[in-house]
Amino acid sequence: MSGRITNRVRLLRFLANEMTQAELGRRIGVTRQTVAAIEAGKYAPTLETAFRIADVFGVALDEVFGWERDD
Amino acid sequence: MSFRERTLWVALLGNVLVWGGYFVWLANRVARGGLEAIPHPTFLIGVVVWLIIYSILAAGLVQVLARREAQAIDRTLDEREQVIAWRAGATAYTLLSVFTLLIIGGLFTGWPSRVAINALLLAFVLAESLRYTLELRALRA
Repeated sequence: MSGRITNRVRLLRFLANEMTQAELGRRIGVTRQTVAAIEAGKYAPTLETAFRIADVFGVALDEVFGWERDD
Repeated sequence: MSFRERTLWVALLGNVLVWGGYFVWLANRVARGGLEAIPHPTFLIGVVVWLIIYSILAAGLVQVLARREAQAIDRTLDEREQVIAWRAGATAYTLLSVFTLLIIGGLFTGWPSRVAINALLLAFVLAESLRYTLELRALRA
């Protein structure tokens, strides 16, 4: 079964008073470049980091990340 | 550009300038005078001193630039940088292993120790340069 991880980090960041990538990175313990890579789908964060992101936005994990199957 | 990228560029440039300069100089010496022209390994102490001087100056410049851009100077790698570093290190290690085995084979066939020392040094420099290059490419991707 193949697929890819999707995310709504950029949207949630915008909705959170237009939080910057750098600010989100500081709050979850990664660099701005890593946040950019997550948003672009070029890097899948660890489970811990994924939970931290959801915690920052105050939403459930599956509201931030999803799994899109290749059919 | 992140602090990690700047640090890697500095290290890669150091390899190219200092060790590249040394090996080009050595190649010219060998071309003119044969293997006997290879200097005693203690000559490498001078090269290492130049590398230390370069590293101190370049690292200082990187820190000054980072402060000017109000970047937080966090020397610990984040999770993505760690994964990239491990993968690049594994590839570089494989290259270094292959070169080392070849040099050992060369010693068995009678290579002079000065040739083997410089070959091992070149292998190390190439492996490190490969590691830096792979990391930089992955960080930019």
